[in-house]
Amino acid sequence: MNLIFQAEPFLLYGIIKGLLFALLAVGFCVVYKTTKIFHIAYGFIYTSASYFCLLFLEKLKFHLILSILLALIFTAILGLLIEKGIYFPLRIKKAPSGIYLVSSLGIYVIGINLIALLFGNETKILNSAIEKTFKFHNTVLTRTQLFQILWALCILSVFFFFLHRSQLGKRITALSNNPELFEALGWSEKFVRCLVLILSSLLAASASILASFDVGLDPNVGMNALLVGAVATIIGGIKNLKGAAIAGIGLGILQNLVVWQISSRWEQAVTFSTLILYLLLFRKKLAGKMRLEEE
Amino acid sequence: MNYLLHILIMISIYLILSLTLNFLVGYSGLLSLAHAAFYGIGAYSTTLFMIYLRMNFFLALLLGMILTFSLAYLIGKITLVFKEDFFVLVTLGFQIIIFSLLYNWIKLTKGPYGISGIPKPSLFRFSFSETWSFLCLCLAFFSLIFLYFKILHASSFVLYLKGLRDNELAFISSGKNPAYYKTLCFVIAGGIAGIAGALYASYITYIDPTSFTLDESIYILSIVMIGGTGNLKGPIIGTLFMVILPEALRFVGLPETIAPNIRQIIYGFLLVILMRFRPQGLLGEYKFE
Repeated sequence: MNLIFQAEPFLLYGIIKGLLFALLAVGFCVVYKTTKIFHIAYGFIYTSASYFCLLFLEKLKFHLILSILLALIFTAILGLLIEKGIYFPLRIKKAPSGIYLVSSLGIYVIGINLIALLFGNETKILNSAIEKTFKFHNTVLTRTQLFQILWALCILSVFFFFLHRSQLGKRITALSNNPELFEALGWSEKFVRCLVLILSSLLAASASILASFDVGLDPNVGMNALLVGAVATIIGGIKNLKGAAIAGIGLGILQNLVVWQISSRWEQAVTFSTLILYLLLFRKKLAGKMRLEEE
Repeated sequence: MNYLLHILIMISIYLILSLTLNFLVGYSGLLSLAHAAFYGIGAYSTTLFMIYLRMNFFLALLLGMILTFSLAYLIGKITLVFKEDFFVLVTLGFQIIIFSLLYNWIKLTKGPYGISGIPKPSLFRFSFSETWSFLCLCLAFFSLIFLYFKILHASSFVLYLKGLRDNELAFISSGKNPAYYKTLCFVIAGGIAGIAGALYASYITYIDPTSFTLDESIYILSIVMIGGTGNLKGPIIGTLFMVILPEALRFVGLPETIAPNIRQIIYGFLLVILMRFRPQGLLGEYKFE
């Protein structure tokens, strides 16, 4: 009983972290599922969202809500530019997956260094005020954390609703399930790909801004976000968006349990060990899935 | 003069790294992001043997290489189960796991504090403590490794690897075991990268885990992708370009504070442009798939 009492805050914080991871995972997964691009530049998109917010909020002194909205819009435009300028021309050339991966890596390197040049390498804080706290059973939650839970749940619900209920959302699923038939029906692949990149950027931006109000930001935060997104996508079943979201929440809880029982320094190592263990245990199932994709 | 020698030493260390990664990327089409991990394992194992067991550099290097080869075998066995993007992600995972071990296993590696006072190599009472003598040692190692890859390049082993890279199904139907060839390739690449680590540790006389991060892996991969893969010219030109570039930028008069970022932006651009217009790199033969 005592153990459950002690574990409660870590579990709850883990779920909050996991909800942000779920946003990241869904954003990464939707790109991988529809375009087969291992979107490393996703890390840069994630980082840039927080820096856009910092620019509007701190440097240009805009209102908080306006800053967040502008940051979301600019990040979506960035995602669109990457698709238009880099990914789609490679798609026309029918480039193999390795080329996409290295190009995406190139964009990540350029982007992160541009941010470091413009804003410096040090950690920045978006929210320096002392926060109002709420006591929930045995756990103290800040206002930002409550906001994180609500916003993440809200965005995830809207996204899944859009995907399953709207015509456009269904086209995204159609493109990922059967690209040949999709083209044969005369739908525009170009448009849906742009939409996917925009949605993915918005998901990453939401997670990024929510996280940066809590723990601050530095140019390298994106790499961790990308890794979490990629790992959750694979554990969730590669083409399964809901699976990715659940895996994201699971990873958040796991990382916080590691922090509680071992040390925060082992967070990433545990994330990847989980991935490798998972891949080894379920590789036959995964191999089957990949073969189906090829067919 | 010492400055020039220093650059030449760094070039020879990175030549070893790029030649080994090229062997993996160019000959078997395996895009690994764990190369800095093997570089680090080589550096740390040799250093620990030298410091804790007071061994001579060459003996420590030998034992360090055995350790690096064994770990490369173990990691290769696991990572090579996967293909394409999954292989990249799993190697990236090992890169992060090994970095975490080097960083957090403080009792053994002293973690972020690093290990200082690493002795210079010595052989028959001759110490390679002067920069020029260390350069000779590096060049000797590089020449041996280059010769080894030159012989391999003309061997049937590399032909098999290329066959496997280009058409795995045809390779399997010829009765060969792809796992054996891929693992051997991975072990050779990872194991020899360890030598570069040992040389680096002994040259700088101080190591800490930040020299063996994911960024370093990305840097080595960029060298190989920019120079080109699948032959020996590509990685050499890539290394010369990438190691000399920051020095050239210094001469242009770029402030020290922004130079590293500008350098990385330049190689990021090169990666994007080359992948679009010349996927085989500057002098490479193999168009990466």
